[in-house]
Amino acid sequence: MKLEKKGNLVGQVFNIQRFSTHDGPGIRTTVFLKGCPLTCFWCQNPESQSRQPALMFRKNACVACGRCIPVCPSGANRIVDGVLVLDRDLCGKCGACVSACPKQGRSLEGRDMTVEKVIAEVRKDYLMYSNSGGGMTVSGGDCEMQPEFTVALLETAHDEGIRTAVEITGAFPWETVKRITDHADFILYDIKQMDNEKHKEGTGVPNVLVLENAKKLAGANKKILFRLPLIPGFNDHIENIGATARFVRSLGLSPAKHLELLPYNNLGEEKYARLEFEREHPNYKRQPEDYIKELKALCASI
Amino acid sequence: MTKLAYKKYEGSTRGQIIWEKLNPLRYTQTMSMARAQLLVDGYKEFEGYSFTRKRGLTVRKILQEMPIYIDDHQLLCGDFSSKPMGPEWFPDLAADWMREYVEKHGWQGSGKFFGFESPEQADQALDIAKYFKNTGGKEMWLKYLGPEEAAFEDKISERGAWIVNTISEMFAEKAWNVPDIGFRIVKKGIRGLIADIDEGLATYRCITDDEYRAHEFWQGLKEMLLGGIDYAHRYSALAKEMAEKEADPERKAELLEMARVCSRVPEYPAETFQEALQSFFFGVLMLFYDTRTYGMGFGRVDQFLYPTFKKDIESGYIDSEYALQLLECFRCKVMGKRQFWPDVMTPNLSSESHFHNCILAGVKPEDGSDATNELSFLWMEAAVRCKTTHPTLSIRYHNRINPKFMKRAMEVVSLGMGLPAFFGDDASIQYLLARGYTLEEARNYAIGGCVLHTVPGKTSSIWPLVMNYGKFMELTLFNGYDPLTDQELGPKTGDFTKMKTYEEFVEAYMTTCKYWAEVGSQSGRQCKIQHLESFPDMMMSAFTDDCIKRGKICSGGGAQHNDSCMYIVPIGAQDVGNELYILENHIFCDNPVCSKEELLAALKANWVGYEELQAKLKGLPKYGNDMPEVDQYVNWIYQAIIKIWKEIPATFSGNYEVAPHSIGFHGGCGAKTGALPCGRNARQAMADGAVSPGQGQDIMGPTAVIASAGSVDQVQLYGVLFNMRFSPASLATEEGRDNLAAMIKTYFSDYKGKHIQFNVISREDMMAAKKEPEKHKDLIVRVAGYSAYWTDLTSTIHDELILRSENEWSAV
Repeated sequence: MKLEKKGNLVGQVFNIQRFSTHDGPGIRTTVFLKGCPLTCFWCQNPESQSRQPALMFRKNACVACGRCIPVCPSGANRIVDGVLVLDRDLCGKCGACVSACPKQGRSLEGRDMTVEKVIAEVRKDYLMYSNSGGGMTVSGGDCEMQPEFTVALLETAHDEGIRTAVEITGAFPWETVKRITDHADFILYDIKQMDNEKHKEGTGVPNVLVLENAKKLAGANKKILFRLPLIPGFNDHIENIGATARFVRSLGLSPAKHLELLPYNNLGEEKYARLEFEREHPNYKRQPEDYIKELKALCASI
Repeated sequence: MTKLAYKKYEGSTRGQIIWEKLNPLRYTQTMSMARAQLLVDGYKEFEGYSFTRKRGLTVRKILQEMPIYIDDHQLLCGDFSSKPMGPEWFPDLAADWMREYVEKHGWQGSGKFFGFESPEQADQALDIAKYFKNTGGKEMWLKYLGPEEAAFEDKISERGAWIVNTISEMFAEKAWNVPDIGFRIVKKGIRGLIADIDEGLATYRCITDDEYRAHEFWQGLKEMLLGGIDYAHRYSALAKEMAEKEADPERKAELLEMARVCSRVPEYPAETFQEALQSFFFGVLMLFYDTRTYGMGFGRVDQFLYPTFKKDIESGYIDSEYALQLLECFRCKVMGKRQFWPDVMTPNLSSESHFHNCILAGVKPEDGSDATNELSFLWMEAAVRCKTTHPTLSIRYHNRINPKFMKRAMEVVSLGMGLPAFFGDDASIQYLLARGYTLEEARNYAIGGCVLHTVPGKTSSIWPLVMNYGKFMELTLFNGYDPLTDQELGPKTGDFTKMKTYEEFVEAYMTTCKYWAEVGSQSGRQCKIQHLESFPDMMMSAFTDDCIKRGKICSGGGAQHNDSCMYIVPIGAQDVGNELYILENHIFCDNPVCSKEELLAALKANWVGYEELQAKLKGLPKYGNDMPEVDQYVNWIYQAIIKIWKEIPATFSGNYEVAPHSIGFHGGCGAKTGALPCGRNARQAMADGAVSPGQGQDIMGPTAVIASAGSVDQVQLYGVLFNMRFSPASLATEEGRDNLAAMIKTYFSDYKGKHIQFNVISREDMMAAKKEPEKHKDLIVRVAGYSAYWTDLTSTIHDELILRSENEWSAV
C-alpha cells in the first residue's frame, strides 16, 4: 500500500485515550474503534458495539430549554410534559444537538478519522513511549471489525518507530486475526467463557473460533496476554477459571504470567442510561478481594 | 576502632518517639522571648560600637546565654528556641506589629496564633516592641519612605489591592540562597574561618570607607563565630552533666559521645559522621540566631556528609542504623523551628515551612557522573520512618541516576507524604552556566527556597518580590481601575472597549506590567539596601565566597555572585496565558463570543446574570491539554516577563530574575483579583506553581500536562514549580510506579523541565479531611516547595488542593 493512501484511510473511532497503562506494557495511547462482533450482556462500552456513531444523552443535565429542537434536521427532539424526549428512531446521529446544548448534556461517540489524524494524536506521546517501553494499543469494540484500518494504523505506527499492541476478541476467521496480529508487538486477548453454550448465551457468539485462534497465535510465538473479565455468576466460578487456566497451560504458557483476571466493575453503568441502551446494565457487586486472591492462587497452581 | 554504643529501639524508632512528644506542642507551646530579650540587652550593653560590631557581639551574647536543654532520646544538640517547639521572635525584623498582635489575640493567643506564657511575658514583648519602635527593620524602612509612600505601599500590598508584595521579607527574612555550611564547617571548622578573618585583619590598612567598614565587619563576624564555639561548649558541659546523673548505661554512653562531639565541633574540622552532622546543625543555628534564614537551602546533604559517614562505616565506629537514627534526630530538630509573624501573611504562607531543602543525588561536580550513595538512601529512609513535614527532600534527576534509588524514590512518593520532589539537572545546569558559573560550580547546585537552583556558598542571600500578573490583567481591562477595591490604581492604558486589535491590548498589558515592575523593583531595592542597616546577614557571610576576603556583608556586595540576588515571583502566568488565548481568538476576532462591553460588564458583575457567557468561556480550550495553540500563550507571557525584568537592575549587579513558584501566594493573590475572561470567578485561587494548569482545567491526562508544561522554555526561568496529583491506586503497583519514573524522565531529559512534585491522595480523602480535620491530624500534603500538615493549611488552600486534577492511569 502506498504511504499516502494508507494515511487517508478512514475508520470509525470512538475514543483516543492517552496515558493508558492497562493495555499493554508502559505508557500507551489506546485507540478505540467502533464495532464489535460480540454483544456481551455486561459490556462496559455499549457505545462501541455498533459501527454507527452513538448519541449519548445525559438526562439529568437536561433543563428542557429546547435549544436542540430547532437544530435537529429530523425533528427527533420534543418536549413532552416539560421533559425533553429524544426519539432515537428518528435520530440521524448528525451531532447538531451536541453543540446546541448549553449544558454539555450530549455527545456523539464515534467519528470518522483518517489514519493520519489518529497517528497525529498517537505521536504526541512518542517520548513517553520511548522512556516507558509503551506505545499504541488498538482496541474497540473489536478492532478486527475494521481490519483494513487497523492494519494501516499498526503499519504506520511501526513506520514511525512506535510499538504496537492490539486488543481483540479473536472471534473472526484466522485470516483476519493473522493479518492484524502480524503487525502487533503485543496481543491482549479476551477469553470470556470456556463453555461454548454459556459463551453463546453471554456474548451472542460461540467460542470455537476464539479458542482455535488462540492456539494458532500461541503456536506462532506471539507475545500474548489472555484476559478474563470476571462477571459474577457467568464466568467467575472456580470451574471456569480452572478450565481457562488449563487451556492457557495447554498452549505452553504459564497462567500466572499470561492470564490476567479482571475483577468486575460498574464503570459502564452510566453509559447505559445515556445511551438509553436496549438492555439493562447488570449492576453486580465486585468480587471480594479474598475471592480474587483465591482465583489467582488457583491460576498460579496450574 | 571500637564500636559506638547506643540504644536500640523496638516497635517505634528513635525519631518517632522524639516526635510523638514534640508534635502536640505545636498547638500548645507558648512564645519564647529569650532571643528578643537578649537582643535588647546586647544592643544596650554594646551601645557605642559600630552597628556591625554591636550585632556581632550581641549574637555572641545570644549564643552564650540562650537557655539550653537536651530532649530525651535526642542525639543532636542545639535548638531553635529556649524551649521545645517554642517560637522565637525577631523584633529586629519588625517590631511594631507586636502591639496589634497582643491587642488582637490577647496574652493567651487565639486559634492558631501563639499565646504567651503569662500576662507578664506579653508585657515584656510590648516593652521590647517599644525599644525597637524606631529601629526594627520595617520601622526604619517606613521612616525612610515617609508617610505618603508608606500609605501607597499599603494600598498596593497584600493589605490592599495585592499587586505587589515587597515587605513580607521584613517579617520573614532572610536567605533563599544556599550557604556552604556543609563543606566549610565540616572541612574547615570555625577556627579555620577565623584564620581567614585574621589574615584580613593582619594586612588591614584603612584608607577608604570600605576598608573602615571591613574592619568592623571582621571584628563583628569573629565574635559571632566565637559565639558558635561558646554555644557548642555549653552543650558539651550539659551533656556531660546529664551523663553523670544518667542511670541507663546506653543513654549515658550516648550523652558522653554528645559531650565529646560538642567539645570538638564546630570549632574544629569534623572527623566522625555525628560530628559532621552536629557541626552542620550548629552552623544552621548560628545562622538562625543571626538572621532567621527563611528559605535557606541545606545543600547537598548526601554529599558533604558522605566522607565521614563512609569512614565511620568502614572503620566500624558506627553502623548504618545509628546513622539513620541521627538523621531522624535531625528531622525532629528542624521541626523545632517555628513560624511566627503577623497574621496578614497567613493566607499565603501557612504551614510553618521554612523551605530548608535537602538535596539528594544529582551529578558529581568533577566528572558529571552519578552522585547517589548509601547516604542518599538513608536520608529517604529517615523521612519514611520519622514522618515529619520538614525538612523537605529533593532529588536531582539526571539520565544516569542510580535506578535502584529512583525505584525507592517512587515507592516513597507513593506513600503520599509529598516528598521527595524532583529537579532536572539538565535545565538547571544550563541556567547556571548562562550566568557565568563554572561547569564544576553549576554541577554542584542545590536548591534554595522551594525551587531556586543555587550554587552553595556562591550567591548572595536573596530578596524576592511577589507580583500578581492576574491583577495586571484586570487592571488593563479596566483601564487602571480596580473594581474589587473601587479605586484608580493605574496606569491608564486606554479604554478596552475602544481597542481595535489584540496587539493594542497586549501593548496596554505590557505597559501595565512594566509600570508595576518599575514601582515594585524600586521598592524592592530600597528594602534590600535598607535592611543592611537593621538586619545585615553577617553570619551568612562566613559561609559565602568571597565575603571574608572582600570584608563585605553577604547581601551588601560580599557574595561572588549577585546575579540572582533579587527575583520576582510572578503569580498567575498560566491564567494570563488562557486570557490572552481567549482575547486573541475569541474576542478580538470575527464573530467574537461576546462584545467587549458585555465582557467587561460580566466581569464587573462576577458573571451574575452572565452565567451562559461564563459557561461558554469556561468551555473554551485551556492551557494544560497539549494544545500548542493555547499553550504557546503561557510560554509567551513567561518570555515577555523575563524580557521586562532583564531591563530592571538589581542591587550590586545584574538584573531581576523571574522565579515562578507560587508558594502559597496563588491563594492570596487570587483572593484579591476579580473575575477574568477565561470564565474564572472573582477571588478564586490562581493556578498554582509555575506551569501547573488551572485547577481542574487539564482534562487530557498527565502526559498532556507534561507536554504543556514542557512547551514552556524553562531554562531562563529561575526555578519553575510544577505540581501533579495522583490517586493512591495508580501508584500501588510496580508498573504504575515505573510509569511515573518514565514520565519524570521524559519531563526532565526530553522536555528539559526543572522541577516536578506529587501529591498522592484521593479527592475523597481530602474532602473527608476538610470535613473532619481533627481526624486527619497526621495527613501530610504537598503545597508548593514544601509539605504541610493538612490541619495547618487555610481553607482556600484546601479547596485549591482538592480542585487540582487527580491523575489516574486510565483503565478501560
